[in-house]
Amino acid sequence: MGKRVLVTDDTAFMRMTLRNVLEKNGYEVIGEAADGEEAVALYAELRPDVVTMDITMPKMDGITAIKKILEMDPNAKVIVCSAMGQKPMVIEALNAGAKDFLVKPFQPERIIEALRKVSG
Amino acid sequence: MDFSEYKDVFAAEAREHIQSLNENLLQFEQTPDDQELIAEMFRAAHSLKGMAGTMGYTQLADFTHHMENVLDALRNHEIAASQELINTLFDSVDMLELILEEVISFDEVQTDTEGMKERLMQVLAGGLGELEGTEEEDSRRGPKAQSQEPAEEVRLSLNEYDQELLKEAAAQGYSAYWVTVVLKANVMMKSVRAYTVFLALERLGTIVKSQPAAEDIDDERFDDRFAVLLLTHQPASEIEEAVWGVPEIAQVVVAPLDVKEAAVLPAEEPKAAVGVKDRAEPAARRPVNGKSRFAEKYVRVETERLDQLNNLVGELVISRTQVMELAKQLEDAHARAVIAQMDRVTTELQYAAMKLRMVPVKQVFDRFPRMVRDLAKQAGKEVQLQIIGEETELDRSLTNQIGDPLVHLIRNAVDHGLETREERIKAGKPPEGLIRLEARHEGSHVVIEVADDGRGIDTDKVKQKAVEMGLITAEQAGKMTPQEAQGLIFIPGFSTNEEITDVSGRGVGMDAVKAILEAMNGSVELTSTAGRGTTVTLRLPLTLAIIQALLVRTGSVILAIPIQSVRENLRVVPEAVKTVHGERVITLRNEVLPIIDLTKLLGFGAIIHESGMPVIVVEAGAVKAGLMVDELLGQQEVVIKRLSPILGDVKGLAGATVLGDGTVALILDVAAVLNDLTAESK
Repeated sequence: MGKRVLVTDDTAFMRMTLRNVLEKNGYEVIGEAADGEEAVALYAELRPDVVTMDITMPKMDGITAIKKILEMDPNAKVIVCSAMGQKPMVIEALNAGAKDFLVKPFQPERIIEALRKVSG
Repeated sequence: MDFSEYKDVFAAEAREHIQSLNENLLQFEQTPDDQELIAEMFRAAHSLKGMAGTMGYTQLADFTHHMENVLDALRNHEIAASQELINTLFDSVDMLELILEEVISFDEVQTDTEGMKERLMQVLAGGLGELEGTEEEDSRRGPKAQSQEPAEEVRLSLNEYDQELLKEAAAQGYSAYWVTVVLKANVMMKSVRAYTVFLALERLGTIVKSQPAAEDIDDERFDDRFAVLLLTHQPASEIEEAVWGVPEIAQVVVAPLDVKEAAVLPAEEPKAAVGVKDRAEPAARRPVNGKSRFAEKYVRVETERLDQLNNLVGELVISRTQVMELAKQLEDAHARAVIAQMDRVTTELQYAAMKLRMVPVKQVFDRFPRMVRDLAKQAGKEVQLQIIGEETELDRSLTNQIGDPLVHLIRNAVDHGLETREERIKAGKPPEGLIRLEARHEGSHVVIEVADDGRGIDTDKVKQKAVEMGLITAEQAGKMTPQEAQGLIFIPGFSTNEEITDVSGRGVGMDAVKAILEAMNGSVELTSTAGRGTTVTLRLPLTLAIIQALLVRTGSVILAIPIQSVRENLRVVPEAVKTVHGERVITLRNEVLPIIDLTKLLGFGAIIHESGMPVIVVEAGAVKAGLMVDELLGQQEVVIKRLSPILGDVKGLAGATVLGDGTVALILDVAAVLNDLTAESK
């Protein structure tokens, strides 16, 4: 039984890309969130094993969402996704409790390595 | 954002990177297996790319990017170091240098770089194809095999502060580990990746030091590896596991550190790393290592400011001399002691200020290994360049001027001096020709020698050519010693090689070398033995600011004649002066010397001829003459002050100096005076 993943990104294209890569590698994408608020709500509902979290999103940004999720579940495993040049925000996310980070454009093997190492 | 104010810094640093690329490439050609060199070249290209990008020089950044790609592939064993690859890299460094200068001057690249970029891409593609195409055995040497090799550890170095800390930690039951972490290739945001490793390790204990320093890691100033000193209660296996829990890790080496042993490690003063803890302890800060952390040991200063300082020190030296004169009249012993102390300090200050202007000749010599390599290839000769004493220091303005003469001399040596491999073997010499470039101090001079072990100068050929050119008569040629014949080479327009290769054809002649050296108050000498080689010796003053001068009086004016141009002093009776073709001359040891009446020439009123007058024989260029003066006053060190620009270009005078009693002495520009003479006689 593959790990259950919640994918968070405000673009449908990125969600699709992540879903493709993850499902091809035996992970189960149990939910897709398009902003931070949705991610927090879906986390409460689905309790996924791992969350991928975009940083720049409408309504609620990824960093705030990470904090909320960790308040809810201190053992939550969140991987923050960023574009190049967002280093300070990645650091902030890691300090907030994100377990690892991914840099866009994504490389499939990187995604899988991060998922594997984070979900243990 | 406007980066124009950073441009000077950018230019200086970029040139350094190109120089280092050149040097490393030269060495790499000799030792293509040296991974450290490749890594260093990659870093240089990478830094250049980043710098150019930041400055907005996209074309420059793009070009460097292509070089970086090739170096990166080389670094990752994806392509092999073929001669073609090395040549391509050499050429691309040349182009890089060219377009860098274009960017510095015009803010844009003007040369077409497409062809070179294409070549770089081909080398990359060709090299990749080659490796892929070869047998399995070769392909196993790729990145996979690399990760099986033990990681090259980042060297640990501890300062006293670290050692204290270690002892303390050991007393509290902590173990110390030196953890080297190697990241996978092409990690994005590697500083953040390193940060995640730090986070993982800090869950186990305390990181007391990292190498490179935390701020360097933060700024991505590291290659693919870094190391930390971790204090923990956990075993090594836990540490290893924690690091492997982080993605994008290629290798981990956890080395336990015996505190006692660590304390015995030499406290590497300049090499010790800046640790995490050191941030809070500025006193304990040390540069990571001498090579990459220059910034902390050196300060870049505008040359203008140095000149200003030197000018002021010059003024002070003059005032000091005046004060010393006054002190002679003082009765008060205490006041005299104080003034004597000021005198000593001023002398030291003068020396220190002079030292500031000094730079190692290495700055000039550095370009020659590359140049010799290219010249030798072009000439189809085997040449070894031996450089000695590159740390010898010379006045900055002199190093700027010495480059061109040296380029010419070295070209001459490769081109005319050294024989071809076949000729050398036939002559019983080693097939590889040797050029020695040596700098050293000799008294208040710096001597630079360019010596080759080639065929030497054929004095018969020189004489024959001089006769053909009408410089000397056949009769004179017959009487000439070999030494005198060699001197003919310095006569303007003289060249002995019948076939001028494209190399030496571009250079300046020996006459120009001599003129440049003399303009610097220096001199040039040549000795040559047929079949054994030629040595050209350049002699330069240590500094331009202070010269040894002969003080003379003409009329009411005191003149200082740079000692460098003085050959001898004579006393000449009026009867000895003859008039030939309307010119006044004297005969000195069978040589006819024109006489210049300095007083008249400079317009200070005529000299009254009595029983005899001092004549100073001076030489500049190929011209010798006697300068007639009223009185010889003696030899003295003088500080050169430029004449105010308000006066315009005063012909015949190189500047002025203030003497101890406050009198102003004018410094004679011997070359200008003598040039005037030859111009007149023509």
